[in-house]
Amino acid sequence: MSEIERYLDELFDQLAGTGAAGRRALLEAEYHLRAVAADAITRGLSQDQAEHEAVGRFGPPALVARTLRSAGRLNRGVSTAWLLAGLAACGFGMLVTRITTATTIAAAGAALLFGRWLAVRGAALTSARRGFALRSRR
Amino acid sequence: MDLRGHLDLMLLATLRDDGPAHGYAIIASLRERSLGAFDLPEGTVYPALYRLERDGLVGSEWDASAARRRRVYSLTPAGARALAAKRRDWRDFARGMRAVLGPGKAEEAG
Repeated sequence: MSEIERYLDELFDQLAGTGAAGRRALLEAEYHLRAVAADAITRGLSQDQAEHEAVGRFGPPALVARTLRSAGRLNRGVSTAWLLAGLAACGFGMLVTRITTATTIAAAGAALLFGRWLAVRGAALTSARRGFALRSRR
Repeated sequence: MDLRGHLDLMLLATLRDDGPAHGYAIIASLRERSLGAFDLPEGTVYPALYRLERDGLVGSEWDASAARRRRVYSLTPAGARALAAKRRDWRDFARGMRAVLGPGKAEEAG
């Protein structure tokens, strides 16, 4: 196996979990390494020397993968911001629901009390009227 | 010389001057134009290109005309505007440093 092949295998392992960005990086890395090696062969280097130079200039696979992951970190930051905004919206919604529910219960309670008061007042008035009527008859 | 903080500016400038190009050609141009100062591992330039693309400063598409598939990058209008702004910042910074260091001191420091 050539040095470029070995390098690409290691880069593939290092890019595990990076999805489409990693697949694209792997394709570009292969094109880049083979182009650098071809140029080096044109300059008079052997195939092995040319591949060694190409791999050396590209940088360690772990470093390349780490840089790629950190370049994508902002995306995760943006996603996190959206997630936090969503949670805040949910929290606000729940708060509004709670306030609305509390207001409804309070209104229902007030209506019930008012109704009861009306009923008591009505009964009291009726009793008073009856008492007044009895007294008048006497 | 640590070029990491200035890589975006250099990539945008290269794309503006050279026109659409694939990663290998961009890096080769950077090496040539920087008079040897460019010493970053070449594999770390691609993530910078992806980041610029994600930010809308660079566009890219696969070039199927080559023997192997390669991605061709180009500067977007937003990238051209960002480049102009970064160039202004860089010139202000360089002017300030020159004023502090002076020509002789700057050479000693370099």
